[in-house]
Amino acid sequence: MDLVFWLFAHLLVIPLTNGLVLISRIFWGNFGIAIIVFTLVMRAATWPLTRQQLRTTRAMQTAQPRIQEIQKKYKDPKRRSEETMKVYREVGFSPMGCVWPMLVQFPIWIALYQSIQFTLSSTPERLLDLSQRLYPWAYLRTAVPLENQFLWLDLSQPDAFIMPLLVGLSMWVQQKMTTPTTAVDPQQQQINNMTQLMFPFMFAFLTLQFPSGLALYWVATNVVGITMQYFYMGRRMDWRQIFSVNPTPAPVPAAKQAGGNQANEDTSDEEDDEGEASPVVGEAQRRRRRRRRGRQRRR
Amino acid sequence: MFVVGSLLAAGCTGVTGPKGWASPVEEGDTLLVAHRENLIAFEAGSLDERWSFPGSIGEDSEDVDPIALYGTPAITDDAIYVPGYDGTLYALDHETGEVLWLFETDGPIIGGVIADEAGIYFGSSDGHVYALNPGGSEMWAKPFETGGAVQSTPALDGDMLYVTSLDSKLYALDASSGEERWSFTTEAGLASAPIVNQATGLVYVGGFDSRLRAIDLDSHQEQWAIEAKNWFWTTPLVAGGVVYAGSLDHKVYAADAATGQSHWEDPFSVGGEVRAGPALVGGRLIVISRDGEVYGIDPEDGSSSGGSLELGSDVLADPLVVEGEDGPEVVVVTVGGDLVRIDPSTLTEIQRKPLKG
Repeated sequence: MDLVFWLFAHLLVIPLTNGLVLISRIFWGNFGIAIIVFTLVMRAATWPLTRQQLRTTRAMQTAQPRIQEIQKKYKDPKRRSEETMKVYREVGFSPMGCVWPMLVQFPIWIALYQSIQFTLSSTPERLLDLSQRLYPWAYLRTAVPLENQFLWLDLSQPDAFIMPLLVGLSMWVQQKMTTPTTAVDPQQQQINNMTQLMFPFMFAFLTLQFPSGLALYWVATNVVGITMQYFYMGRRMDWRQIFSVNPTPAPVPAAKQAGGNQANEDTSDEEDDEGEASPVVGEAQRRRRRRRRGRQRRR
Repeated sequence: MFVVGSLLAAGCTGVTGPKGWASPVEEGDTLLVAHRENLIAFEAGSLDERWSFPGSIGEDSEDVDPIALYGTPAITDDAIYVPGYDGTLYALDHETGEVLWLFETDGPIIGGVIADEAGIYFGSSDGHVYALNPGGSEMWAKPFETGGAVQSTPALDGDMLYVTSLDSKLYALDASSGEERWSFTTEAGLASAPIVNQATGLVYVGGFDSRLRAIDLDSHQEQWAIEAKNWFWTTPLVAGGVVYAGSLDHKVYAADAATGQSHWEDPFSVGGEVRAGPALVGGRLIVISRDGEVYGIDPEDGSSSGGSLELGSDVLADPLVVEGEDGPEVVVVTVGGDLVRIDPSTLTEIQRKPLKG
């Protein structure tokens, strides 16, 4: 166990701590800017994991109309579950595909949290601890103690109002963008709504306890996440649906109702052709079919 | 839930509040010992408790919360001056420990207090150096402002007050007016107290640039410097024409006070970073590393003298040398909350007393 802690400290916490101090030194000793730049670097470094997560999310959204249809069609839970899993397999959605990127990033979050704690050195003892974690490079060693003040924040102390609000709000928006917004089963919809509110509330509450430097990281990483998500799949998003507190189930496209399997095959084709899938495939498919029929008639 | 739970767990293990590292001080037959937010007055010989602060101060006790005590208190005929991490300087009554008056600043007070008949001097993390009259009113027209937190004890030498700041500067101030006479800029923050030595005409100061410097009091220029592999955060000790200082690089350095030439062949290596200042007692240099190991060193050649003693808890506070019944003793307060009396001639424990708080 000691070896695990040692590895965790020397492979993650200490490099991250030195990275934060280095960035802070480069950016005029401003630790707030350092956290934001650091977040950008971290998000860029973990982009392959994020992309996998976004792909999974998009596959899930693609399958959503068909899942709704299955939920309506099959009353037997076992059959419903089988059919749902079948759809997941067909669109290439794996529940673990969402979880793994989160799990891989999790040690980084913990390490980052500890790094921010060390770097901010909220107490003299912490500053002593930091002295033992800095690489023997005068450029780094002479950079501390860092300036804790950023905008209205003392980054080593919790913020009582604005940061919890920003953390909660940004997390809620990101969750709404990630989680499928509709479920036919009202009970399921209620659970979804509850979950979407629970995490932002919890993190907002945590923000009240933790240094605002960590809250700044959470806000920055959420905003970057929202931006990434927007550019990756934003044009297909129903923003009104996202910002609605009580989303209404989206109408199931007619093409799906007419023939789920066919629609599914088309979706796979589209993924192959364009490297991405659309949650509104029904309309695109109808247009494509109309064009195909038109061409056949002309011949 | 997993994420939140783990973050909470990490938070619980990661967040630790200030604990304090104020050194013990002796006043007549009273030994003042700080542990966390408490200052306890003991009878010097028997270690019977006389009073404690806060705690035995009556109805106002709820308003008094120093959070932690880092700076060494100062004692005058008028009162005992205690710097609190809550940013308040408390003036206590000698006999009862009651608060006579208090003075609030805008940042934690981490350095110690220095006082004489004329005034009380201390710095605050709000970046200011304060001078108060014995009654608690401000002595200077306004506090002296530095560019960073002041976390060290000022040094008073005649009519000059020397102060270090995390803005990388050593300031020389007029003690009566608070006006700056001169300053010296280093390459990183300064958190250790300066030591003035009139025999050499130098002021010694260690810093976060890992250098121990000697600065000429007349020319205000650097006379010499020695470099360690980590910060100097201890108050140097000048004795017998030699400067001794521990570093956070787990080594103790000795240099000729006038020239800076290394007094030992090699620095003395210890098992942890050295935050507590060294003490010279009975011809032996006593150094305590953070991991609670007490080392006896021959001050002449830097060799081990008398082995070492393990205290079983971290030590960050400077030791205090007092005269015991059978000769000099070293009094140490551990982070774990024990008051330990050590015989420096044999490096053995004489007595250990757990402190409350």
